Amino acid sequence: MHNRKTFKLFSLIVLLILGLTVTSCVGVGTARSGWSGVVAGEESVYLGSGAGKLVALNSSNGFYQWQEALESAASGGGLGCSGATAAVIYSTPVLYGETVYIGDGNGRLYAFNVSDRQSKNVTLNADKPGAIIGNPLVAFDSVYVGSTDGNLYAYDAASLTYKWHYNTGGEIWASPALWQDSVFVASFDKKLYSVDAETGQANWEKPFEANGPIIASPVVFGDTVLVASLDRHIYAVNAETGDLQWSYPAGETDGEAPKRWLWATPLAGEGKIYASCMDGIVYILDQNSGDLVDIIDIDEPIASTPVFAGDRLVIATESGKIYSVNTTSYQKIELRNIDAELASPLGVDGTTVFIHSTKGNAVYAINGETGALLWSTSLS
Amino acid sequence: MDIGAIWDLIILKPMINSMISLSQVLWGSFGLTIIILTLIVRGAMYPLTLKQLRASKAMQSLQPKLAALQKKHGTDKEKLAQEQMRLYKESGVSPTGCLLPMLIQMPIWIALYQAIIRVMAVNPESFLNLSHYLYSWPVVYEALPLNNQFLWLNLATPDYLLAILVGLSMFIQQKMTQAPAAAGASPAQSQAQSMTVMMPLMFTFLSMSFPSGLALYWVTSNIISFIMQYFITGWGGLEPMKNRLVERIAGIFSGKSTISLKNRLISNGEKYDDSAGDDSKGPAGDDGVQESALRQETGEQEPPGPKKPGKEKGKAQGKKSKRGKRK
Repeated sequence: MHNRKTFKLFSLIVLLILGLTVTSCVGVGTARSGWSGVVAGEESVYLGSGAGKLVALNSSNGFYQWQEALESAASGGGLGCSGATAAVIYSTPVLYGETVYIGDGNGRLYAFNVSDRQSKNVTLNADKPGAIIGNPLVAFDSVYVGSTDGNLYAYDAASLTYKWHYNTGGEIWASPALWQDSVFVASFDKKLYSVDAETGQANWEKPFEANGPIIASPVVFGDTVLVASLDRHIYAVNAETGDLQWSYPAGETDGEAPKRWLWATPLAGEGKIYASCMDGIVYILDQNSGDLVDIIDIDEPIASTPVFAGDRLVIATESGKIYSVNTTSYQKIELRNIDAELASPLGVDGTTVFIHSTKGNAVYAINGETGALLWSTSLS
Repeated sequence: MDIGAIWDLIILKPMINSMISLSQVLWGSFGLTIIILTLIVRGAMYPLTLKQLRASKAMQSLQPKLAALQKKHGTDKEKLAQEQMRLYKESGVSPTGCLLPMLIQMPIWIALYQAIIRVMAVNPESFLNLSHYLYSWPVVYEALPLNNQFLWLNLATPDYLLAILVGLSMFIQQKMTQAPAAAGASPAQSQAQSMTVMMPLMFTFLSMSFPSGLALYWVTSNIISFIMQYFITGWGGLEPMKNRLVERIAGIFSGKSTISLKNRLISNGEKYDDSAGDDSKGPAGDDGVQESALRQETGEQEPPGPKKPGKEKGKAQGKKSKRGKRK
């Protein structure tokens, strides 16, 4: 009788420990893998891998050159799962001279020298760590980067010494954009801000306000700054004053208005705006008036920011289909299906398009005009 | 169209979009939205819950008879099954009566749980994924992302206090679904009793890893469950605990805590040595007075069991004391 009780108690404890260990390791929601894009240098391309590493590949054949792991973050479950987890990288690296700047999901900004691979890093806000989702911007010997803690930060580009920060009312996922001596930053608080690049003071009397959060990065053309909001509108704003110039759709929505999120950053070129939408349509607008010029029906959600490759617009769908659109006739061609989930912005060097699938854990280089696969590298 | 797509189309998408739209009415508060939507869903499920609880109560009331049958035909499985079926038929109770309402409710609970996870969007990938579930209603697009701050909580991160509340509320709810424990519990009852400890512990630790938005849903759901349970089946297995608590509180107010120990021993049929309770020997004798007085106040009958000289003395003292009081 006594033995039976002991056995039951022992079984209960074993079951409990097993259960607790398993349950404390369980996560919720979609797994974090990041969506870093690829940036091309002279002989190398750089990207943040799904495993939390800054990777350098030979741009002509895709061979590994080097990789550096970003610092891991402490994590803790109820029991058993506490430990370190690899950094998650959403930010696309930025190459400035011989230095690659990249931010991670733990709110650290890194500067890697690509020649000697020496690195520096700084935590943006040690008290209330946010995540860096957008790309850094390097200008005037400074590096500007937004954080989900709601601040736009400025650091000295060489030493990573803190200069100033500007607080917005919401998380910052968008990359900052530069116009003259102003830095534009868009926020989850539905606002677009213009900040003096030197002092960090607001330039506009009041920020421009949309009806929904802004995730896509601002785009500058001429004296206009363009933002696409989750309210499914595209706004063209005067860069000097912050006044609205036009918006699309302008009034009540009609049949050709975006039906889902404008997640990807729009592109501006040759008098046109190309706005890719999660409803599977690329809206082509006139830069000056915001009038709809044409639409290209891709028929699948687009989360990756497209690129221009020569005279073509290259678009990637979430499911991994790559399309090329002639920017004069707006004819589309399916270049290739890489059959991997895509959310990372595309990279480009001339007519070569670089595609990074963090879920597929691979990088592809294709010819943006013919669709020929130049190389592919598994990052496993 | 695969089953996942059908599930999303019919159940999950309506739930997600209702949740986001509701949040607009509730000042964009995701915490309040979770509570109100859980209330609405549980309210809509009330007829089914009622059916389930009543069936469960009917099954509980048959337990002593089933135990007797088990004892009688323990070795003859066939005969036991026949007798059990006969008992169910005679009593008009279906052994699967509580299962069907539960099975119907299950998809709705799961959808609500999934909707909360998706709308909460704890990381950028989840937020991007949420776009696949949204209707093209302007209200939905302008509401997102929802405000994750609620009371002291960041609903996207775990909270230990709420995790403890999950375990506590689940323990209470599970305990209430059980019949009051009888001596010589069957193996099935023992298993059910160990589950009342295991499940809340599991969920406590799950809540320590999960975003507190989910924990808030579990706490709300558990509280609604045990309120419903109370009105339909009463305190259930929580009755003895409740009684002990009431006694203890009564003991604290009268300044004598030993009363609860004595009552517990008596109600368990254990021997309570009251010999030290002579008038001449100290305060234990007063306990007897208070125990008796408490029984009279609560209308509780004296527990069965062999009467002991000390007990008789206590009762006599109680009478004496009351007379004294009247004087």
